Amino acid sequence: MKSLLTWLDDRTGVRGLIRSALFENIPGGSKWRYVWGSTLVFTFMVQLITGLFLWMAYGSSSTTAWESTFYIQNEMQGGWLLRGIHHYTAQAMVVLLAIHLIQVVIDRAYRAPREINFWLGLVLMLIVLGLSLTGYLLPWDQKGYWATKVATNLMSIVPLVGEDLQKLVVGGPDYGHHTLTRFFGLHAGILPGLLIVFLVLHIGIFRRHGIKAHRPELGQAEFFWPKQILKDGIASLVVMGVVLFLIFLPGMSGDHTGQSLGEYLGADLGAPADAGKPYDAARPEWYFLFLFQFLKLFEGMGESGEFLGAIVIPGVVVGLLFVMPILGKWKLGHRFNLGVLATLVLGVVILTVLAKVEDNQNDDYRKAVAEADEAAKRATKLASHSRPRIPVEGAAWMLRNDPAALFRKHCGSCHDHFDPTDPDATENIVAERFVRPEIDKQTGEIIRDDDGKIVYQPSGGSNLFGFASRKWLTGLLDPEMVDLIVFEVSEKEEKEGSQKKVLRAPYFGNTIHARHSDRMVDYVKNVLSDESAEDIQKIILALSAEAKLKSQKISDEESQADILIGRDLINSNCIECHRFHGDGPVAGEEDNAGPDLTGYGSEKWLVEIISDPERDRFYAGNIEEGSEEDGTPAVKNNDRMPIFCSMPLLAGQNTLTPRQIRLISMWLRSEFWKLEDESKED
Amino acid sequence: MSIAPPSKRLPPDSQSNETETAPTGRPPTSSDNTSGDDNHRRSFLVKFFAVVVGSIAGLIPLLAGVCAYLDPLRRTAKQTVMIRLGTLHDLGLDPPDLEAVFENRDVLVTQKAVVADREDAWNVYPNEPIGRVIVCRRADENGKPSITVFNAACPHAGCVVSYKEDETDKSNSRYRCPCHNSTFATDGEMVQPTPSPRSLDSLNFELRLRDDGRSTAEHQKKKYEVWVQYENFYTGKTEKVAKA
Repeated sequence: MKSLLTWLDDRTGVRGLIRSALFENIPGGSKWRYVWGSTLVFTFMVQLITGLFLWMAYGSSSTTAWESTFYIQNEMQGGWLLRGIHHYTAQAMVVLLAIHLIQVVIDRAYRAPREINFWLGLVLMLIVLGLSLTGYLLPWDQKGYWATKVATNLMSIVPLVGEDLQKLVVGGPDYGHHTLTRFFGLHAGILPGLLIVFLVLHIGIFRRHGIKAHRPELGQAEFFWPKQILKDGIASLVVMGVVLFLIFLPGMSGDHTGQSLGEYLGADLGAPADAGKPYDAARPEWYFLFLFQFLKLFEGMGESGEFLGAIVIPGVVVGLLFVMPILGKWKLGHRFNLGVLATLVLGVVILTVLAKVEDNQNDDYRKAVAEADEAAKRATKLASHSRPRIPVEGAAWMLRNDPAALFRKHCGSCHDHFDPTDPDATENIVAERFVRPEIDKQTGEIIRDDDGKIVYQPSGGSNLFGFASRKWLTGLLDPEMVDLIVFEVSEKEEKEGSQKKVLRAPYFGNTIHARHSDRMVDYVKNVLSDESAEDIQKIILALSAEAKLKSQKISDEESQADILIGRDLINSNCIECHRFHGDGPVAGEEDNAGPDLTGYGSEKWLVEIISDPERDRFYAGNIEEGSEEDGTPAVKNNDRMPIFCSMPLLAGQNTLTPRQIRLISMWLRSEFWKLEDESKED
Repeated sequence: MSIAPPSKRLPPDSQSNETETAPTGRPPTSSDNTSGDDNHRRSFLVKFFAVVVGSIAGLIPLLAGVCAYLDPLRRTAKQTVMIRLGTLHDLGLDPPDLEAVFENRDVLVTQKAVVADREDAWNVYPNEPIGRVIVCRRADENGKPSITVFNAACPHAGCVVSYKEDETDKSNSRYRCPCHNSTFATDGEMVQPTPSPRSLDSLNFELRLRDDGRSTAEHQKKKYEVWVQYENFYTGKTEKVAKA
């Protein structure tokens, strides 16, 4: 063994190298106060290693950054741990930087001949801060996007070159693909490369001069190996322990049933970046909060104030740090340096605490943070558990086209989507609706019906939760439910003509169809009720089977016999007004006809009716013709439902695109989300 | 006793066990006897070219890289075109009739995403939100209703401002930026103290009368459409300068 080592040593000089590395002399002996530089080397190594492995999974474009980060965090084995270590070690590095700087200044280790090494250290500090800044943007979530936008916006106030500088950093006039590629090039290439170069110089020159010992006369000299290395190792282990603690902290409280590990452990991931969505919760990472708070102090000073606060003063502070070795030649100078350092540390701590306190007391901010959390959870849920998952357009597109959000925006003003058996369901959408009495335009009087009851203006459509399911159809064909409308009893005495809040109107109750005779409401209340309950049940089975709902696949197969009978019943009972598999009228051809029941509630049927409800097949024509003489308008069969996509081939002309309508239809049919067992297969 | 790292100055001396002979001699010093100016000139030329040739070789890839790196400087912001925001009714800024009496201190404000095709390097994203605007309808000094459209980005550092309505006196409402508390009045002017260097950036806009021949009440509501010339401006400056 020894001869092998000698052979190697003769050719490489390795023995001498190892000896010089390990047997650095430490006058006064190994000390805990010397560990900080080594912990920084350790954390940098951790970042290099975790960074390399993250690099193998991350894609730096505006449609792959969030998406690949989501994948690492939630779907890759141990991805959350890898990313968590990278995230929290970065934060630990900032703290260690400060401690190392403080120890060096207190021990006056910047005096001759160590001035240049001190400056190299400051350069290293700036590089590490640059790494933090560039890294924060890479997940391309709302938080990183808006925080970095503020930082790059500040760049344009640098005199002369500010605007060009901003363009080079951002990769163009606006944030986009090239912002990410440039930041990633900096973060994974240029800055680590520079860091390694400067670190080699820093350590090399440090070894040339030896350590600036603290009170060496108090102890016996020792070598670096083994005692200082042991201390350094323990300190590094403690740092790693803190990092791991922060990763696992969220798991120690709260209920996390049903969540995958990545959903609550490790670093968090905000909603995908969206230039069109303001992010009121924008804040830099905690170690830059003091700068953020600092800028608030320059109110009322305009452009020069911003220049002063963002560029001049930080510049002066860094300048003071660089000047420390020169000032430190004199004892007074050293005291001044300590004073500057203490002021800095105190100032940073106070500003950070102030920022946190102000935010905690700011209701708008807390609301914004809660909303941001909701959006982040929703984005993650859509990406993990929906059938379409993330489309190639990216996760921001996916979130913008969340079918629940589309429904709320475009359908929610008339239709509820409410599950009465689960009032707290997250996808319940209920709008506040009011009904007002109909007023006769000429007399100004409240219109009443033949029984003296006030006639209200309809203000909504049906509750579409579980549309076309057996349960939904059972309600539709129930004489009590078909035109049910429940008002809220007002607290004051019920006045005539007061506006009433609608609580429930699951089917026709809040539409004009409830007020016209000879139509479905009439039929259900007066004609259908004559049929036997078993027959009605079979009709429901047959009609619901038309939708081919996945959730009913098995029960539909099992009820085939009843469904066939039900079809015959539909043919004998409903054909007078509804088309059904080739027989019967359509509204476009015959007055008083109802919608086509063929394929009722199927995806095709839904897409077509949402695109254009006034098609012949559905709610075409008028229920009542108007009168020219007394100016009464015609009553349309289509009670106020907009035409969402009349020209599918002309993009930009329609309220909803065919793709969006398909997503909404999938969602209404409970086919948008993967079932439990499907998720487990992934 | 400290051990200095191995020095890397001169080629190894003849004490090592090498089979090849190291170059003999030592680097020249100024006291060497150079045989005349010719030799001196020749060795100067050799040194000169050694430096130049090496630099050229090294500079070529670097210059290629820098050239590509400077590409964004020639990219300018997309030509501003008029973008449709919606009808006054859709924006919640009824009454649709521009000359209608507008209660003096009433203020209607709506904030909306601007949707347009967005070009990003090699992609074109159709119909994407590219920014946000604020549309404000209020009565001016003469009581006439006036409409202003602002870019919702705060001129301080670019966060989107929010509208804080004063319920008792709407004309006293404020736009407030959640990032550093910049504050603006409903006409966009700065309200001190504020870190913002200038007032909210107003945008050029047009009200286009949409006449599709229908005269029903529903269509009357949707008469006027707001079209805006959406632009972004540099933050932190006292003057409003469009991003080039």
